[in-house]
Amino acid sequence: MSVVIEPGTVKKSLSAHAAIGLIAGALLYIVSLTGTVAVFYQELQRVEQPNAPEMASIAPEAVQRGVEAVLASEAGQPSTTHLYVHLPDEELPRTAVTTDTQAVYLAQDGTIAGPEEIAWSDFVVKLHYTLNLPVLVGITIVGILGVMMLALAVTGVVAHPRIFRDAFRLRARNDGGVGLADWHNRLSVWTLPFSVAIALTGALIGLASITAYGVAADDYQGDVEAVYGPIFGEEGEADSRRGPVPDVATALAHMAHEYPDVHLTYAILHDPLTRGQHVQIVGEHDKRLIFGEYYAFDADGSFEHKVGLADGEWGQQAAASTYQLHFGTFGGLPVKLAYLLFGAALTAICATGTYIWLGKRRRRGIEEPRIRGAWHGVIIGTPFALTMTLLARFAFGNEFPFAITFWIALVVAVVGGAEFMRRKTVG
Amino acid sequence: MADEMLFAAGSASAVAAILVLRFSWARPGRSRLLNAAGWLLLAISVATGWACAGAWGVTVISLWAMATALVVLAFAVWKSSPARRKPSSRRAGILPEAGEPLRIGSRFATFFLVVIAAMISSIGLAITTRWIALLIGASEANANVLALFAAPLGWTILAFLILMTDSRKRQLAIIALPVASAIPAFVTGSPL
Repeated sequence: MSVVIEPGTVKKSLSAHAAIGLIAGALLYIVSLTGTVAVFYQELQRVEQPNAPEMASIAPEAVQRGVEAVLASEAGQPSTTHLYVHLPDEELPRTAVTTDTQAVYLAQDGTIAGPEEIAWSDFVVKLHYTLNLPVLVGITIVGILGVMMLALAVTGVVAHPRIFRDAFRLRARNDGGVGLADWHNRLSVWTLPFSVAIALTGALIGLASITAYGVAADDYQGDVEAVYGPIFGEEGEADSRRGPVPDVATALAHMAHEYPDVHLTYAILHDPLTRGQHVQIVGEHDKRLIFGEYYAFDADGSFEHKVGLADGEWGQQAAASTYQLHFGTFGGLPVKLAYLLFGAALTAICATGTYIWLGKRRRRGIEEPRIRGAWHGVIIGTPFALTMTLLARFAFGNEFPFAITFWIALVVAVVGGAEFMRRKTVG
Repeated sequence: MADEMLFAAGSASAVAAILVLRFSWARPGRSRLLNAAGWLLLAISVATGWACAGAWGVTVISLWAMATALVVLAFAVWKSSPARRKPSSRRAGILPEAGEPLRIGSRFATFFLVVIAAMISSIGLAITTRWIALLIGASEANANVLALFAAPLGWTILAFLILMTDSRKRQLAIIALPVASAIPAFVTGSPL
């Protein structure tokens, strides 16, 4: 099969591909690498804090005791706006309660077992999501990287007129440039569905905030939450007057009785200890991409409604499917291992792109030791800096400044690589 | 049980599709029959995945296909002989070469168009998409989700078109069109 594309179009597309790759390459490499690691967020938490209490399930009454204990421990402080109970599942068999100010594990009987200490795992996820920048800025930049990855996929396909004829040709035993280009092209072609899915979902998640600002300015008098309301459900009316501890146990018991096939993942308390409080239970559905369905309860634990992420409007189902599709959490360990393989391939594609460009310039007699050295610094420095922070986690504990250490180590690697290659060339 | 058997058959079809395509594309001459068989097997596997488990099924089936392709590529690596072909030294035209002007202003202008202007334009496209969806009767949830998808997809197309266009005027027109299309949505207000 052949696809006929004009040579001029191929040339322009190659220029566009190279331009995007060179400008966004380093950040794309960091985001791809950290995304591949972040697929194992749940497993990393267990490695990072191996002694936390684990359980296959927890009784609704124990969850209630835990919620009451955590809320009591915050008495005298400003009330938390949300309280999340992570319910034990196969991938993370732990019960954790998170408020605005703390995160603790619960023991099987619902007593507080101790603080959650997973700062390194959280750091990796934040690095992937926001590059450790303030949330809105960081997530938008990562969203832009998703768009650039999509544009790289489009320009890459257009710049590759023999895409089918060469689909299985990989001349690996060649270090003169052919092998590197073959690795880049073959991995790109065969992971294309994965790359497009990852890039599109990442771009959508990253750019949702600024898009929602635009839509809100047009039609919701600037109320951004109103854009998401029809999709993920509305927040209830706030009423800050003092209220009792909400009845989470009744809500969980209702779910076990009425929806026995749904795997419960979270209980979420909105505005707890106020009259406006309500409870949401998040339940995963088997063989679905959606992260779950929201089941809404009032403060007494009486069922009110489902939001419709599982069986509502197709838009709701599509929006709820982006997260699991992006992070590979929809099929247990086999799917995670597949994401590890394809994520590693995507990371390698990002790394080889700039080397191919540098190689072409070298073959035309243009030597750029500093750029080559700096790129070595990015490629080697990123996994090195990540490993360093992980070792620091075990050596110095949960409070270690992971983000600043990572970025300093990476800058040193890039500058050091550039200087090393310059001296090597001069020498 | 029947569903699981069918899904397994769909997965096997995905694996077989890649192997048939590998066999077909490795032949010296083109075989329409083998090509068609490969693509048909792939289509059957996707349809089976959809029938068994919707989007989840299609996603898992595609993972099988991609994993098979990578295994086939691993064999290609193992069996590859030293390449005799001369590597490409084709210019991508990103940086100036000896004696060429830097054209820094032009480069910044292109960067601005692809990143900042295209971002604003893609949000305009998202607003237009939502407005039209509501006008033709889409629910509020569907219209809002369409807007959220339209921004990154629109931006990708805009970035591609801008970078494939030499004329600055045409680039500006490409940027302006989605912004102009959002004016009716702002002027007339919500169709809700």
